Amino acid sequence: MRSLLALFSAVNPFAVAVALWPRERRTLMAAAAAVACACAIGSAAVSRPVLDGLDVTPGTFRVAAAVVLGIAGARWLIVGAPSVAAEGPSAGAGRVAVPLLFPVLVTPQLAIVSMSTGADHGVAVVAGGAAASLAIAWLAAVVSKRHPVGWTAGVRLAAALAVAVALALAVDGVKTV
Amino acid sequence: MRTSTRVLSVTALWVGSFGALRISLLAPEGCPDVTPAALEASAVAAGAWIERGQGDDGRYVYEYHRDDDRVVSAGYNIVRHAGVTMSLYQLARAGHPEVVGTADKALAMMLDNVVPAGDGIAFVDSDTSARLGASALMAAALAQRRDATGDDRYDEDLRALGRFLVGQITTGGQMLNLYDLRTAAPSPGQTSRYSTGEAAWALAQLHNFFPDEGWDVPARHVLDYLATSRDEVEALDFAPWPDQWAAYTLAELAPWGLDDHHVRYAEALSERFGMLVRYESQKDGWPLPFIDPRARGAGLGVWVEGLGALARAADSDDRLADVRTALDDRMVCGASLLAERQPDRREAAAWDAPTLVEGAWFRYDVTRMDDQQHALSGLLAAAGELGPVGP
Repeated sequence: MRSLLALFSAVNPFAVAVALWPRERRTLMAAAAAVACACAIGSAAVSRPVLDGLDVTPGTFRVAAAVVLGIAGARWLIVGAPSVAAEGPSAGAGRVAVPLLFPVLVTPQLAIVSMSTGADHGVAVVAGGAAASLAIAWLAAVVSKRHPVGWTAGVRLAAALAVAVALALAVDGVKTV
Repeated sequence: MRTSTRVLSVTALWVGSFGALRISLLAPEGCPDVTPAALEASAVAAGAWIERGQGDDGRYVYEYHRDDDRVVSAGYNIVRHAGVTMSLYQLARAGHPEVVGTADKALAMMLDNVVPAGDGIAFVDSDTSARLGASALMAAALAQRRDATGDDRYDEDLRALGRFLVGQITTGGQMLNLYDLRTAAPSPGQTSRYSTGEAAWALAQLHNFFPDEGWDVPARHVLDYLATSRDEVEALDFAPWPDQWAAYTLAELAPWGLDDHHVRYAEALSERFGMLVRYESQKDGWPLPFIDPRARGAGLGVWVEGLGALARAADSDDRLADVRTALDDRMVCGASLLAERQPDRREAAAWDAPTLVEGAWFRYDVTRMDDQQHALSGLLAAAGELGPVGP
């Protein structure tokens, strides 16, 4: 359950919606979400070789993932999610790359949480958690939205969850034999 | 923001994040490849340092500063004297009986300094008080000697030391650190974070040698206190305090069966020792050793000792099976760091007194005899040489 919450808070669908305010095109967002999901699954799939290559144990990596997730959560809590909808091309594959994938969906926190979860619980958990979180992010980005108040509150709620999950991950990582 | 600027900022964020992590939390955990034979050889070298430093009175070189070739004897600590002697008997148990002569000479010094205390005897260096730890580690030394040699000539001394230890136990399993020789009574109010575990381990070893004499009752009483309330009562931060003596006690009593709270304590100790060794293993590259210096030989040795004892406990208790492999991994990693950091003859030759450098662990160019004691014990544990004593 904690792994799924970590993936959800790393994606932060509310932050995705606010960053792409007021709404993103369905097909472009679907393509971006699919690529982001593939990146998360890919990170999980290579987690063990990467950890071996870095000479770090899963417990140590979990602490690093907690710090990255915690910083992202703290940033959302303090400054919210700035809008990047006007950046990049207005349509086409270029828009999938910027701003949908970078900087909105494929983030350091999603990559490292996916890798850590993959090392601890396997690829299937990451595939399920990332797919569900990114599906919610897709929905949040494409629905019609009028008043940002509820959405920005959601950003901070998910951010608080990110900080809490990060603390739990850090404690667990530190306590790993 | 322009697309090119965004791409650059994202790239900088990713590279910067990884770089910052790589030199801090994700610094490589360096665990050199090492064989059990190499670990044992490192322990033998530590034992040789202790032997070379022994004087005619049975005492060892207490502290040595290699930068100005200075031996420090002031403040010679008899608790550490007993502990170093105990580690030599552990080395003898591991198949190196050649060190028994040195250890026996140090034991003779201890036997010359025991006095009646409580219902038994205590090892002292004062006319006014007896310290719990000195008698506890003397008893531990006698127990390791008995296991190493099969010689039972000191059994009555061992029992008498055990009776003194039992007299220091208060309600709840807490142990008082001092015994007032003038009033012939334990001194109330003073405890030691080290001595309680040392005494528990000594009592557990007594139980393993003399299982029909009831030593398990006080041993388990003190272990219960260590496992459930010591950290809170004695205000030790970040529980559990990394007590390798408590780990030794768990290993000694595990074949007789542990309670659930003992198992939880063993798991918590495993986590603590594991974390300490993982962090220490990250100190081989820049910049961590400059921010937080490498641990002393005694510090790292204690952690490896603890992991080794917990691994032995896990051998006897299936409830610890989940952590068994990780305990081995961490123990061998810590021991390999010890072996790597130990100066060999070639390195020692560069200093003014090579015989006081070879085989010892230095921090800031200073070594103390307990650096060698704990490192030696940890190395033997990692080489698979130590376990519960007994007939």
